[in-house]
Amino acid sequence: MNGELSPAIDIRDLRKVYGGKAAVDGLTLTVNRGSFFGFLGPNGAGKTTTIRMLMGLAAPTTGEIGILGMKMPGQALDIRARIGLVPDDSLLFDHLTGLEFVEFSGRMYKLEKDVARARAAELIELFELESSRKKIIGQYSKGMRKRVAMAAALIHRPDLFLLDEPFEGVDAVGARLMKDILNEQVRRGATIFLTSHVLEVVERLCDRVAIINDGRLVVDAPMSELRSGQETLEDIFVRVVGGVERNAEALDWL
Amino acid sequence: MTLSGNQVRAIVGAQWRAWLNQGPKAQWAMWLVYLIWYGFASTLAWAAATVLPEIKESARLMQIVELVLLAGLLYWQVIPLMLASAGMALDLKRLLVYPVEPSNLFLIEVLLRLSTGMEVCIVLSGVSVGLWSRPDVPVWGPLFFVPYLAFNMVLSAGIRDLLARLMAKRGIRELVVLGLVTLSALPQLLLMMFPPEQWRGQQVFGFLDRIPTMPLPWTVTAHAALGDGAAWAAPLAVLWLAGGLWFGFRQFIKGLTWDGQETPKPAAPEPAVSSRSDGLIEKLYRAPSLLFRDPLAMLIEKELRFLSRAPRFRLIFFMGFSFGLIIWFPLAFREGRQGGMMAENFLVWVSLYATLMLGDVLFWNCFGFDRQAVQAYFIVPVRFSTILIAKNLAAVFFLLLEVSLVALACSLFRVEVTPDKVLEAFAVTLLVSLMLLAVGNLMSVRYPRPADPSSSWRNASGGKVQFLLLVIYPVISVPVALAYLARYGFGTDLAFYSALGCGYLVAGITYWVSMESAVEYATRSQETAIAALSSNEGPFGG
Repeated sequence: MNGELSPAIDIRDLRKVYGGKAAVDGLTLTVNRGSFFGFLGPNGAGKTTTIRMLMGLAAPTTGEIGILGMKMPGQALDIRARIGLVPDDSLLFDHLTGLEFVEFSGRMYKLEKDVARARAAELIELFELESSRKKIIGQYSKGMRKRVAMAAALIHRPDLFLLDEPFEGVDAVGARLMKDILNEQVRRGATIFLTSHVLEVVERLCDRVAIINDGRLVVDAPMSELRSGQETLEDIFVRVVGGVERNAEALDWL
Repeated sequence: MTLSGNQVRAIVGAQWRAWLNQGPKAQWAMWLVYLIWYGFASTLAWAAATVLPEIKESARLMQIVELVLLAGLLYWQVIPLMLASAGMALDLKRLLVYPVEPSNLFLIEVLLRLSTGMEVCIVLSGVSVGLWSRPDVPVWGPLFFVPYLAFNMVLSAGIRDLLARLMAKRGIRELVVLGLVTLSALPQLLLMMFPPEQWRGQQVFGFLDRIPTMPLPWTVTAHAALGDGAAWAAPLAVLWLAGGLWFGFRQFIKGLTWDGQETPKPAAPEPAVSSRSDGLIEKLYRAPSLLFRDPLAMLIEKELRFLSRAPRFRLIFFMGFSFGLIIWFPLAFREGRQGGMMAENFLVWVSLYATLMLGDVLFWNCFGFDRQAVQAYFIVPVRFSTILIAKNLAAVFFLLLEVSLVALACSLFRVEVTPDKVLEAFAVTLLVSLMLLAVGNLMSVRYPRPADPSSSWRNASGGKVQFLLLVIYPVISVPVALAYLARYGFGTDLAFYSALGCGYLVAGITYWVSMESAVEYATRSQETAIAALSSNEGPFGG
């Protein structure tokens, strides 16, 4: 496979089974380079498991994963070096300051110490965390933690971003900043793979959307195609995933 | 294997900064604990450095060095298993997202194994000084301790990874513990066969003389260190190191690719018998409602459910009545010791051992497992004292169950278990647990630490907590010690139980006072407690 022409993510018949139950079941998906891709699904649909497999943190039961023209898990280290991850559950170290953590991330991506330090300082300033530079991450608000995670994901200028709920808990100013930065990354040719429950954000940012339910792909279409009908993304999501019928009698005390 | 010094330095540096960022208050106590503990190891090292030059016979010297090396290996590899506390290790969950060579991670993991065996290094440095003082030992000889220490480190890393994977699987975990229990009985059986009373003069060494020399790690290292047969011993020592390295690295790599959730669940429906037993267990969980009103009853029920499902708690609970019994049994009942104090009070002894084992999960850090729930405790309209009491009652329930199981296990071992002895065991254990709860409630709110209930291995306690435990355990033992002193002095059970009664009075007052203080402190510092329980320190985990 030619590394430069291949898709950013190329998943073939991916399956992950935990204790007899498939968390991801026959997922086939292609994400082109330079796209802003929304990966949606209800809670427990298999989004985080998919991201874990894309990072090589969980081994697929069956199926193939190609990332940036390389095979996961065979070339896991080379792939990780080109990915920027913003995880859903924080992988931050709470007893480091934001600056220290971002510098740590840079050095883990094999940047020279001086380069990592300089970039970390710039990113901390960019994400408006300068005033809290002496605070340890444990004292940060949820939104500040997400900003630090985003700064750490950017430091090595990755080609692919895996973002799991990046805007959760982030205020409007921070969210706008993050969106602007992500759009800039797409313009320079990077690929964004985003999961979010805020469908309005996905609708505004993404050029293509996939929805999984119970580990299976139920929608994979360009946003323009989805927008062409009468339905909003939320309507489509609820329709394909299946809403809950409320039993009014059973909850009449409510 | 390729090593990137930059990444290794970044990981170690981040941990160092995380530690510094905790502030000097958190560090002084740790240094103090290190000073006491490593001071003890240094004393042993000094004794070795002084005694070894005086030994005349070189054959005797060889045996002593072999024994020291064997003891070092056992201390390094076996003691962490017996305490289910394997020291510091890399927090791989948060490091694997980076493109780090596994060899770099393995290098750090191996270096971290020093946290469970630094004492061995100190003692062996004393042995080296002692050997260097002898003219018959070549200068390069003691340098062979270095590959021996490295062998211990890689072996320890491999064992830790292997056990971490095995212990995560229900069923296999219990089997592994059973295997470890059996293994731990081996030295005790040897003690029974060769009681220390017979270790006089030349007998021990005579026995050791009869054991054929085998190319075991400690044997070859001793020979290489003393320059005796170094031509064959030295390559063997290096071979052992290579074998240890292969084992350690292989286990580490397996651990990297294992995501810990592969345990298959039974596909077939549960059999009827299981449903019945589930029903019984469900009734047991709901039993607090028969004795107490909500919210206390519900809180106790939650504790019972939560603890009985936590792998860490289950492991320690199982070890309490299995390990404890096997470790102490031969020491109490070995030949010539029938009727000794330990034998007479065996049930109490093992019960107290089990109580102390459970200390970390039931007393000292009772919110550690509960880190997600702590915020809810401050939000729900329930007095904080009710929450502590619920936790304490659940702890007492499990302790009483543990003592009952110890009594049952003792009777299986044909130890005399009379109703008097069972009553005494319950009375003493309850008194100690009351004191432990009194102090534990305070410590749980003052020094809360996040703990992982799904991990079978203990997180390292903070230095201050370790220091406090060193002081607290002897103080807590005083009322029980006085009760036994009273029985010894007056020769009656009445004196014993009267003293125990006084102990209960003191413990009750202590509990009441500490409960007031704990509630007041928790209310005042809830924000700090929540923050402390939700923190992840650095690249190193427990």
